[in-house]
Amino acid sequence: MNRNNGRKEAVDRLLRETLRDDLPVEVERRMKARFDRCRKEIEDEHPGKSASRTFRPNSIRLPVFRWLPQSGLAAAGIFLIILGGLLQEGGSSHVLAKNISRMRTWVLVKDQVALSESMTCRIERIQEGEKKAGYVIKWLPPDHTRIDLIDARGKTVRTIWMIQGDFTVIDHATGEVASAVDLERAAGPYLSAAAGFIHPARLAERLYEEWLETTREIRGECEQRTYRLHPPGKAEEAVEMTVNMCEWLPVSVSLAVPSDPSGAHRAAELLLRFEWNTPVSGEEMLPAVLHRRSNG
Amino acid sequence: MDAAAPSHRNSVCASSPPSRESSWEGKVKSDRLLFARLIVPLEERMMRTIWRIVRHPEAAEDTLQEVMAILWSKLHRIVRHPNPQALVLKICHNAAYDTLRKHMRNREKTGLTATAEAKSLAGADETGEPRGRHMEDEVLQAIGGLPRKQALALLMRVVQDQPYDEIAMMLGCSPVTARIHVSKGRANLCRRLAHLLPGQAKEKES
Repeated sequence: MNRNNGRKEAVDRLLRETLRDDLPVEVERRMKARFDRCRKEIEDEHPGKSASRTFRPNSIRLPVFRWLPQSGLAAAGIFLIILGGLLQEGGSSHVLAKNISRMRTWVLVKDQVALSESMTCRIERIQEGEKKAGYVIKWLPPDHTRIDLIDARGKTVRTIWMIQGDFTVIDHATGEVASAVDLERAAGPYLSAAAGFIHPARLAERLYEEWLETTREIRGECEQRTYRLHPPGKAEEAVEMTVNMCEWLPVSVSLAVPSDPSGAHRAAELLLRFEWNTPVSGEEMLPAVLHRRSNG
Repeated sequence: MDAAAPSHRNSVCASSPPSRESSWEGKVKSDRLLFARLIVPLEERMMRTIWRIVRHPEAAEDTLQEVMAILWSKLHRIVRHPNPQALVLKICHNAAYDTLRKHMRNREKTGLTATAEAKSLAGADETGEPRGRHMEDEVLQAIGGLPRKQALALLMRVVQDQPYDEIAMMLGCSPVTARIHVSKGRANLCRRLAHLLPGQAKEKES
């Protein structure tokens, strides 16, 4: 017992001797200076910056989450980590990410379409520098689309109705009404470049699935991105589409083909310019006969 | 953050206005006030505590800065603590202990062991500073080699003369456990520093 006490005292003495309170004056001065500098930094700190650090645990929680217990959030976090791990293991994490971004785009476009009673898009078709023709697309949610094909003189030559996947083509010159299931066969190559615009949501899907982003630029208040799509193995025959990222609606589509055999020079064969109009009413949209068909 | 939400900071700093004057600005002002009232008076003790453990001018300065950053970021937690001053000193101990450990790791990386250093110092001066510095170095290294709770408990007890109740509160354990930490830390040091303890050396020789 005495030996233990002696050992204890010896260690304590050694510690007290070694870790004695002998702060040198010079070191004290330097530490004081550092203390003052730190204090000044704290006092000069920008309130926002300081607050973001100091109040982080409380301020980061949105009002809607405040009633949730932290343990609940922690459990949800753990669940998501496990889910992420499982998806990673299964090699499907990229599918999830893709679906999430597609869903986000779809929601954006869907919201926009849902907010308006209908939407109209006037498309100018320009070929070799001169205005040739155009078409007008009108969307009436849900899933009703009318496309008017307009010739170079501004006369509507054909109307295509797309109602819940059913295509009806009206030829204004002959008065024929025909049903078709294949848009390209009904409209010919005329609409092939814009076949993705059947519905804005589908356009958004296609953007993510097939189109390749090439450039981004800011015009006015909105960012515009250009996407490129080309047939497999034919990169020079690309269709480029510029999209307004504020509205997620196309601004222009151009189709270019090589002007010389080497493919070095490309000439614009087709340019489509989109002009988005204010919503139109449902009555204006559907002729009675088609209205009955769509209901019955 | 809505102004109506109950805030601990407002309750602590009752003198601060029920701020609408940009709520951030008001809160930062009250934090500065708290800092000035609570931390600044402890400046001297903080510096001395850090110095006693680190014993290296630059490392001590850096440790002090780290402590300041911790204190500022956790100010509202410190204020809520039943014994804020003791908590501040515990933070100093903790940071100083971390500096010791960092120092040890750096040594291991560079391959400079205490023995090698001892040899180089032994030849330098037989009577003066180097031998004392070597002993100091060995003790610091031994403390850095202790488990955190043992080291903190021992330092708070032996160096700061803090009562066991306070140590227990700082370490979040019972006073009995705090005593055990101190006792184990002491025994550990005794083993590591046996050659520096006169009684121990004699025992070994016999």
